[in-house]
Amino acid sequence: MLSHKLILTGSYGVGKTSLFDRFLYNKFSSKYLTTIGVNVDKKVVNIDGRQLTMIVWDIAGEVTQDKIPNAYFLGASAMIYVFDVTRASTYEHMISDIDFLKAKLPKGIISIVGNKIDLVDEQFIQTELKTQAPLPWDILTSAKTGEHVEELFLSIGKKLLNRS
Amino acid sequence: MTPRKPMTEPELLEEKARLFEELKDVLLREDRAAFRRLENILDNPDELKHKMSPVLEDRLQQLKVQFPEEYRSIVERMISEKLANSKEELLEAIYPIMGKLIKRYIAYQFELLREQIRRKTQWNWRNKLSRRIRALFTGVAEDEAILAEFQDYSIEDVFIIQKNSGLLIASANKDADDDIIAGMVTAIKAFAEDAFRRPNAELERINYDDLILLFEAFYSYYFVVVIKGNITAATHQTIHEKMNNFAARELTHGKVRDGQFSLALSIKLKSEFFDNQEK
Repeated sequence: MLSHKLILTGSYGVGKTSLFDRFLYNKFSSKYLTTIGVNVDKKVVNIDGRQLTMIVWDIAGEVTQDKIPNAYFLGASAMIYVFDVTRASTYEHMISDIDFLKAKLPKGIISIVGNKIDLVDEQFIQTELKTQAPLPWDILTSAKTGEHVEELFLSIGKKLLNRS
Repeated sequence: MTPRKPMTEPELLEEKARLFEELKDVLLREDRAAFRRLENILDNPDELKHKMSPVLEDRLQQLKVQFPEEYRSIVERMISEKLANSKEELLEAIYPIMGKLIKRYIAYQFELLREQIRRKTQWNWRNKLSRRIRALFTGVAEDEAILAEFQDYSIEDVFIIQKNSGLLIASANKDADDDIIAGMVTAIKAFAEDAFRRPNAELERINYDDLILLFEAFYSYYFVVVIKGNITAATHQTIHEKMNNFAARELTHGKVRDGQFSLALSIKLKSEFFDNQEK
């Protein structure tokens, strides 16, 4: 069975741990507990009859990505860059952050994810968010309702399997 | 004297040819002799060897003298290219050797420690007497008996983990949580090394309750040996030696490059550390 390291990264309070918990344990807590250092857990997924072990690293949020210990990025096959759709401060450094991550992971998959869509409506997404977000996102999720969370991880898993 | 009969045209031509041949013989005599000598030398291997040896020897000596100057840059470039192309393999091969050198140093330090213990124990006649009596009945040397008091341990598990990713390559006692443990210890290790930034330093040990996690870093992977109980420097050395031997024998670069779990390697790892476990 193939194993790959995935990283959840982004500013603090954007819902990385909530996405992690939703994907790995299918649970959600509205209580905010800041992540200290890193959480590591795994999930075995079955994609088109092939099994893949996803080792997910949920890294403590930092305002900019260059504050994160370099070693956490090493050996990752994919990175999920999470921002909070309701807080512009969580995506204002998106361009430099993504450039930084691309430099760290030149051959890896980088997915830009807007989380907490349960807190906004479609009109906000189509007007304000689309004009304000510095880069287009790959998927919008809600860790609270579970919307598109499984889809996010499975689409990355599929790309990883197709590569190997 | 009878006057010479004038030559006919063909006779004249024949006479010219004969004279030309005679002239050639005279003019080319030496050259032809030299050519024959050369032919003889070339046709006779022993003769050729005899003639060429001093020349070749001389050229070889010249080459020896001039080689560093004339070919250094070419050789250096070739070596640099080879090293650059096989850097990973080279480092993978060198790490266990370095480990053996370090092991020898540790062994030396351990001998010094034994000496110190021996000297310290000499003053206490009651202890000395008691240990001597025990030694007499058990056959265990006094200093060994002192060390044995600290040596109560068992190896609980051994992991081989890809250094960068934290992906589990092998585990002596495979458990469902091993992948998570591998990731988490890698994160802890990375955090400690990033936070304190000591040049060329690696996290070597974590103590947790009665467990000791020994880390041994190689180039692209590292071992974690989980030990329950107390270990002495001698035990540490034995474990260290096992890791080095296993690495040199089993962990070639290709086997660890992709960071994927190997059941075959795990079985070998278990056999190395758990079959006939020595204390």
